[in-house]
Amino acid sequence: MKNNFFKRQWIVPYLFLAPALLATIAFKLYPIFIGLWESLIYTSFGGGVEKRLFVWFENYQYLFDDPLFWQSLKITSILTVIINPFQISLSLGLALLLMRKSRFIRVIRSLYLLPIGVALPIATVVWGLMLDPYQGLANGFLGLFGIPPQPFLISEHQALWSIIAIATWKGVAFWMLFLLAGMEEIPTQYYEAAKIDGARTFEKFRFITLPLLKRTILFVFVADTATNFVLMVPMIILTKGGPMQSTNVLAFEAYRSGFYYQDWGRSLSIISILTIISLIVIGLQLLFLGENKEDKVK
Amino acid sequence: MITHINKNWSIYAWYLIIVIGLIITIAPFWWALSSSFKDNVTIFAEVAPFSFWSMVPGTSLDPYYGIFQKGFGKAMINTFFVSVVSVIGGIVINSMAGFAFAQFRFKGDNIMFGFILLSFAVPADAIAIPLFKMMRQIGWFDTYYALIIPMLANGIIIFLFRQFFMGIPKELMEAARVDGLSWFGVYWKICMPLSRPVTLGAGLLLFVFQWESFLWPLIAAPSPDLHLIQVVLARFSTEYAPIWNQQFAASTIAGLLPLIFIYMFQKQFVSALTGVEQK
Amino acid sequence: MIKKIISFFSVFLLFASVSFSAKAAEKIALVIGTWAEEPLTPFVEKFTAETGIEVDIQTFPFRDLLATLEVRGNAKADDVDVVFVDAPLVPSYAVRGMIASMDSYFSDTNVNEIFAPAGIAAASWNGEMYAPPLNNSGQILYYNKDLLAKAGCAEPSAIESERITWAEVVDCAKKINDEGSGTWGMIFDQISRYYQLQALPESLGGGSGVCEGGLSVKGCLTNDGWMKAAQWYYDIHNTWNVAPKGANPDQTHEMFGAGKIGMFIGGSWNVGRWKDSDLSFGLALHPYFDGGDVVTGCNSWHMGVWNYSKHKDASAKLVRYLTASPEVALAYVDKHNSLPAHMSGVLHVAEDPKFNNFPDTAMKLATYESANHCATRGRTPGFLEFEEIVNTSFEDIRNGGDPASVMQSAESRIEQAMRRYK
Repeated sequence: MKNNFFKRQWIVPYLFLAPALLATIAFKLYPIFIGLWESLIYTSFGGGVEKRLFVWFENYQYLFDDPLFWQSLKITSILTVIINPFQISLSLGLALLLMRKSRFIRVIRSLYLLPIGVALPIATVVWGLMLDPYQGLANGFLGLFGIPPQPFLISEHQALWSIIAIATWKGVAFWMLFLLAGMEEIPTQYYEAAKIDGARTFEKFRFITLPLLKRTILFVFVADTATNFVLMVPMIILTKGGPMQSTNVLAFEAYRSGFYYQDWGRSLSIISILTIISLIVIGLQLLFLGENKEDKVK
Repeated sequence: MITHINKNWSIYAWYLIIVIGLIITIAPFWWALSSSFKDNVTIFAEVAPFSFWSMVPGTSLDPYYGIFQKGFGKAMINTFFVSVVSVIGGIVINSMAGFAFAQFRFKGDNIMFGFILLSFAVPADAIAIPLFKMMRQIGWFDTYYALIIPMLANGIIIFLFRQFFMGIPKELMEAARVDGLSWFGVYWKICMPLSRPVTLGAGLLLFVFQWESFLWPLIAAPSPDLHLIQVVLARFSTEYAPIWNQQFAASTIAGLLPLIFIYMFQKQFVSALTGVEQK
Repeated sequence: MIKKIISFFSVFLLFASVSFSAKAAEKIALVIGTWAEEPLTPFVEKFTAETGIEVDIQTFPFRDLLATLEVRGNAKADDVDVVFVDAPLVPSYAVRGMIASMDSYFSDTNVNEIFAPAGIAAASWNGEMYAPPLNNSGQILYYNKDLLAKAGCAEPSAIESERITWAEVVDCAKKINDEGSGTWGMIFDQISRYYQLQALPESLGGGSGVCEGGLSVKGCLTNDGWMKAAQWYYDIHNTWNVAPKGANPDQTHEMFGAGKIGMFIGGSWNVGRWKDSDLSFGLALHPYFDGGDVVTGCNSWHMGVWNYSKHKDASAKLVRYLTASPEVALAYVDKHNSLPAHMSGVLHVAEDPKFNNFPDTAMKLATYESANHCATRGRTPGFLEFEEIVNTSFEDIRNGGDPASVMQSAESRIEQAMRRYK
């Protein structure tokens, strides 16, 4: 840094930020802005002529009058409230289990991470075959324990749970990886000191692991939430939002409106609403799980 | 940290839970792998009713010959290239941005961070069409650039690095600054070496994003020369249905490669701590 | 160091902005399904040799083909010229300006002499022909001889006067059903898909589901015929429980191939799958409802000129070369077991004795069904919405949803979606 220009403090953060920020603006924010604009446009083909009308918030108005939208919103809320805490507690539990030292630990850990390599569409197809109500492996397996066959994906009451299971199978490996890395970073001296003080396992978890893992957990929570808000591959491949709209989340309804119906006004209105909800939830997570920023360079 | 419980029952309980978990984790993959060595009639004859044989790999290599004849090899090389470039480029620019957010307070930092959050709250499919139009306008359509460059900046990765960098003791950096190290030096020589696990995690995320991407490569790069794995995989089908054993064969290979990667790098990934302590 | 980074990125971007898309003078891009590459490539090469127009063939699997066309239509992109068009989507593409009218390119001939009537009907919208047919499809009944014999059912017939009814199919299916061995009485190939299930309400006099004019479904999707068909579809999966739930159209033929299904209502293309297998199967005419019409699904792929193409004349030449040529039609029939849409292909199947031998009789049966009992799918510019909603509704009914309320809600949702085309 021989140049005087670069010695000025204020410019330093912007230089660090520039490449990623410019790329984000060009390839993410600009298309998002276009999408927002398109959500205000109503396209019709009456008389075989394409007409594009700027209709302000009419597309949104139309959505709010549509019971299917409210159904979708309900399913999205249920999914969000269940899947995120479920996946994260499972990841955390598994990460704790895999912290134990064992001769095979490296192999065991690797095998647990296997779902990361299996792309979600493939995982979905395979799970779909396994969860088949009559021919599936899952019911064959349950049969060994005398449990009667379950309908899984074709039941209004089980489909969403089945999809949560599929997404969790894939997701837990991912988030566990980050939690595991975070746990490995906690200096062992802390635990040794706690042991001398006579701390019990749970106390060590509560007073050492959790506080020191806070930043990692926040990351995992936010990333997991954002990921699950846009979860739709299992719906696209397996349920098409059914049975009886029981798995029709907003992300899928938007995908279907856009890519199946080519009704982009509707699709992008849903996306906009979904994005706002997602930002609010992420914002709340940052607020309640976040850390203060006081120790930054001014 | 559970290590001090040395009672036998806890070890057995541990193994029991681990094994049940492993069965659930591996079963779908194992079934796909077993089926990838069979013909389609056998696959479906063995699952209904559920037969033990469905979990025993077959012996036919035809599905594997089939997929490599249909361009799976080329697609793997393409995906590998695209993934590796994305990983390297993505780690550099996103970690730099994460560093900026973690270390500095500057005008507009909250707004910019909001933008970053916004960028990953929107589903990728929703912006595919404007992005497609843009690629055509700037002439990147049907090139590697379209596959790689729009995917480099990633809000989740920026957030990941930010979270990690915030945990690095400030004294360490201030001391280095006093010693005359530039900010870039602090980032490159102090923060990055400390963040090996998080860098590998970020790399894995970026790798998997490309490994799994389907809709974007399908519309942005239709040439067979640029086909990525998921795009080619969808092609292992007839007009009316997938060719199951070929899809399983491709999935097996596509799933095993990242696993090998994870296995190889796991040591670096989870034992970076030792590096911190030695400083 | 920061300078280095900046210069690295500017060089990178400089490189990146170089475009590689070179364009030849008269070169057109042909977008077809992956499965059509093999049969069509030799003819495309011949076309290039004869006309000097170069053709770049791009292939996509079925679902990706539709997606890729929609994205390009949305962007009004000009990088494709000739495209595969799924028959029922002709009105949708035409109304949305994605494909161009072909009338002027066929004005020197009588299309009724070239193509079978069902193909022309599917190719047209508002009296203009947009996408001439490349091939056709037909549905027949496949049955597992061993399972039928075991159940003591008579084998269904391939003779028109002895055509089996749906009631007879269900009776036999009940006898075949065997939970213990996972054997089922019957299944539809394209289960819960409008393409194949349209035959049910049609046979009960319910029509295609789309009202006259193609801009409404009010009363046309919930009429007697449709409601009875929906109830019957509910019954075979729930009340009588003779057809399995769960399995999707990607698996149904594998189940029949594995000997788990007594009767399989499916397309003629399936016959190739079991030609060389141990499966002992027979072929029969498509079932119908007693007292109703005989109706079967039909139509397949058409070819159209992309409306945003810069080479429309050359593209139209290629479309006509491929669709109106007897040679292509015959090759398509002989080498690829695809039903013909071209008259000379239809005659060929009727006359060539090869099609009297099992299992090539499948071609003959399906061509017969298609020529005489074809119900072209509902003609509406809103077919994308219509089909998706009808398909998911059939699936809901299959899974135990109340047929009447499911069809009511489908009708009102489709009606809503159609407001864009009025």
